[in-house]
Formats: sequence, structure tokens, C-alpha cells
Amino acid sequence: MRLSRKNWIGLTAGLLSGMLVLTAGGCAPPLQRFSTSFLDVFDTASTIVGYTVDQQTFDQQADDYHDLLERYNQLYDIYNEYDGINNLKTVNDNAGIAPVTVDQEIIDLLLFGKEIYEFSDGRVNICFGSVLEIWHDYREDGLNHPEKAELPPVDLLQQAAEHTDIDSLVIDQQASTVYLEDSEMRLDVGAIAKGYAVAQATKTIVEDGMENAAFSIGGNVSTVGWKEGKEGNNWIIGLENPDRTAEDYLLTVSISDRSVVTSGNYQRYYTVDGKQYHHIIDPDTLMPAEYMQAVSVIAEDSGFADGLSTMLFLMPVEDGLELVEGMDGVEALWVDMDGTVVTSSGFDQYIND
Amino acid sequence: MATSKTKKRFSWLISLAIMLAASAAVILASEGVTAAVYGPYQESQPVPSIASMTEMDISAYDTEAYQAEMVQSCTDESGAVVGYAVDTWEYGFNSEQPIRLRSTISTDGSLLIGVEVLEEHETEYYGAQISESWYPDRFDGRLLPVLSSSQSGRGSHVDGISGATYTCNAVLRAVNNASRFVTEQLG
Repeated sequence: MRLSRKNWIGLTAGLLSGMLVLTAGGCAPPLQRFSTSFLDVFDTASTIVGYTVDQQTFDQQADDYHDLLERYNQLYDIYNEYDGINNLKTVNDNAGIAPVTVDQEIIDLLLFGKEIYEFSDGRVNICFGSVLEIWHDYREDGLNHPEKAELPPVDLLQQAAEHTDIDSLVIDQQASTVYLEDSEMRLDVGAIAKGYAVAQATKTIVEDGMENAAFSIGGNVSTVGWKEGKEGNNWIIGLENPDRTAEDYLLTVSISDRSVVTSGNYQRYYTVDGKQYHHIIDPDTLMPAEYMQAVSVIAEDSGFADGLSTMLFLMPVEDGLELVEGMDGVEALWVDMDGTVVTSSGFDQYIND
Repeated sequence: MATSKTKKRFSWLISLAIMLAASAAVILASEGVTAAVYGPYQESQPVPSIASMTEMDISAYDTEAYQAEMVQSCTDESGAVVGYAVDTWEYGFNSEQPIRLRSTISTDGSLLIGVEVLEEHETEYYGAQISESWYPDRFDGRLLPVLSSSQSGRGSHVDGISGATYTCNAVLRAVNNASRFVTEQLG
């Protein structure tokens, strides 16, 4: 049979509309789950889980995310130098000597650090480096030679604590410089830097098109979009059990576009005379805080969650509970010294059954 | 711990961080090799089974940079080379005697097939946890939540883990070096 011109038009139109229906309808490629991990940022293990149309898309986005974190890691590093950049080590090395020209990412972090200082009444202090440095050194020595492990002398800690005044941190936004007026002062941004970097990197990668992902950067979790890309399908995040003999998570939470950050005494510590001394130091006692084993914070911003979890770790559970109850959009879970779990009133909504 | 602070950029695929998990899992837990996957992957990605191993001549390669000591090629039942077993060393908490690990990695470097601890002297040190029975589980939960191919159930539906800060240990670096050796030298 020969097709007339009219038939052709009809056929073509039919085909075209068919294609349109297919395109608009069920033909969107299904999202697939991908995951990757890396070890070279913030001295910790990181995992990204994401849902994208293909592996190439995921790999590109994950690679970009890694590069962002790597840059933040270098800028916020107080132990290592890197070619061609001024980082926080440069700032520390120039304490009492000269202002250091730095990138905006450093200025922004330090300004955020000052905010957290105000918010926490000085509990979370990025200028506490001189004290933390002593603990760090004694901890490292103690880990390397456990039989000789000892506590830092109190007078040494007290001397260092004289040099932690945050007003001696001078940030000149106009000139893009940072200066520590006190030559004995040292920055240590450990309480906020990772969470802040994760928040910034996540913001950037979302602007660049990543829609559905969960980022776990050394226990610091940030999520965007939905699991499987299905609206309403939350990400499931496990909370580490401080009881290290336990076989399962403490519990799992179900979140979307939220962050979860935990501070705990059970990972980074050393042992002196049979007692464990962890790394979160109370600015009042200059000793490791002993109010609880761990506290987890759920909040929108991972930088804030990071700072708040440290702050809560440094105060009695009841005081922290009162604080969190007075805040919008923030929930927390505490594991006190004897293992009892305490939650803020709205935490239940996140618990995954 | 001379290398602990070196920041080497390694290829993403390889960043087997994950291995940790695996590694640990395997580490003391079992004599055999446990299946685990890392890197961008599909959870359904098959893990090759290894029938035999043959030592390779690696004198032409730059082994020093990776702290690699011995490499064996791994073949499956059909005789096809499916991976490499790379022995690497790294200092842990014991700064005098290193840990020695055997990491078995697929030929394309995309998959960690298994990790085995050949030698460790961490017991009296902080790293003694490496020899405690719960250690493998801990790794599994923390680092390979979604990467573990096991049927354990734990982690199978979990997308991330929030916990106290964990510092990378020698195991991670040793496995990472092994995977880099496969992709950068053998690949």
C-alpha cells in the first residue's frame, strides 16, 4: 500500500505526539544509588551516598565535593603547610608578629567562630589553641608510649589559658587579613571547622546541581533532597553507640535537608593510670568534660550543629536540655555517663522506627 | 608516624576509604577474605572469587612510594586475572614496628575484595583495639554502612553515620596505598 501525503502527515504527527508523551511521561531515566569514600580530608573517613541518573554524573559531583573539602581542609589546617596558600597554621605562626592575608573562606570561618563564642558564652572558643595544643601533645606522647602516659601539668595549662582571649583575634575584612595580637595565642578550629566546611561544600554542590545526597564526613552528616530522589523519603542516619561493645547503632534517625553532628568521648582519647582522657576540653577546668558520653544535634546547618554539639558536651545535660528546648529547629539526644539516653521534646519526630 | 600527616591526593575511585571497613572486618575477624566493595559502585556489583594467586615481579615498579612489599596476581576459576593482592606496611600507634596488611583489589582498582592483617604489634598500644572482637563490627558500621555487600542487615538501609570524630588509622593508609599502587602502577 502506498502512503498518501496526508497519511504521512498523520503518521508523523502520531509519532511525534507519541514521543512527546514518552518524554513527558514515564521515560525519565530512573535514579540510581551510588556511593564513594575517601580518607584524605579532615583526618577522617568520609562517605557520600547519592542518587543520580548515571555514574558519570555522580562521580563528577562527588569529585567536585571532595575537591571543595580538600581546599577547606588545607585552609583550616593548623598542623601542615601547603604550597601557595596562607592557612591557619600561617596565622598561628605569625601570632604577635604580623597580620596574614587570607582567603575569604578563612575570614568567614573565623567570623562564624566569633559568633559561636558569643552564643556559647565562651565555651566554644577558637582561640583556645594554646591549651588544646598541650593536651594534643600529651595525648600523642601517651598514645605512642602508653607506659609513660601522663597528664599535662596544671600550671602549664593555666599559663596557656592566659592566652585565649578572643578579642586578641583581629579580623580585618577590608584588608582580608587576620592577626593574633597575643604572640602566645593559637587558633584551633577543631570544634567547628569540619561542620562549617561540610555546610559550605554542600551548599556549593547543591547550587551545581546535586539534588539528592547524604554526606558523612567523619561522623558529621549532612543531607540534601530525598533518598532515592522520592519526595518524602527521608535519609536514614545511624547514631554511633558510645558503648563500643554494642553491636548496633544507638538508634537511627530519619531526616531530610538536615544535619546530624555528634560529640563524644569515645573515639579520641588516651589512658593515664587506667583512666581515659578524651579531647574535648572544658575551658573552666582545663580538663576533659565529664558531663556525658555523647551528644548528637540535629539542625539545618551543619556548621551550627557542630559548634552546638561541642557546646552541649561542655555543659550539664539538664542545662543543655533547657537551652535546646528554647531553640527553633534544633533537637538533641544525650547519652549520659551511665548510658541513659535523654532527648529534647521534638527529637522523637526524627527517630526511625 | 612519618606519613600520617602527608596529604597525598589520590584518585577518587580508589579512595577506598572504605576499605577500612572491609579491612577491619577482615582484619581479625576471620581467617578468610571477606567481600566488600568500595568506590563509586552499584550495590549489586559482583565480587570476584579468587581461586589462586601468583607472586608478580614488581622490581620495575616504584614500590617504595606505596610502601608495597609484595604483589600477587589473583585469578578466578577460569584462570582470568581478577585482582591483585598487594602487601603494604604502615606505622600504627606502635612507632617501632609497623602493621603489615594484604589488600586484595580488583584489576581496575574499583573494588576492594578483601583485607587481611599479616602482622601487627599494636596490642600493647592504643591500637590494641585492632585485636578486639568488636573491632570489625565497628568498622563495618562506621565506614561501610552502605558499601558492605554483606547480608548482615546492619547498614543495609543506612545512608550515613553520625559519631564522635574518628581519626584515620594505619589500616586506612595501608589499604589506600595498596589501591593506589594498583591504579597508578599496575593500571
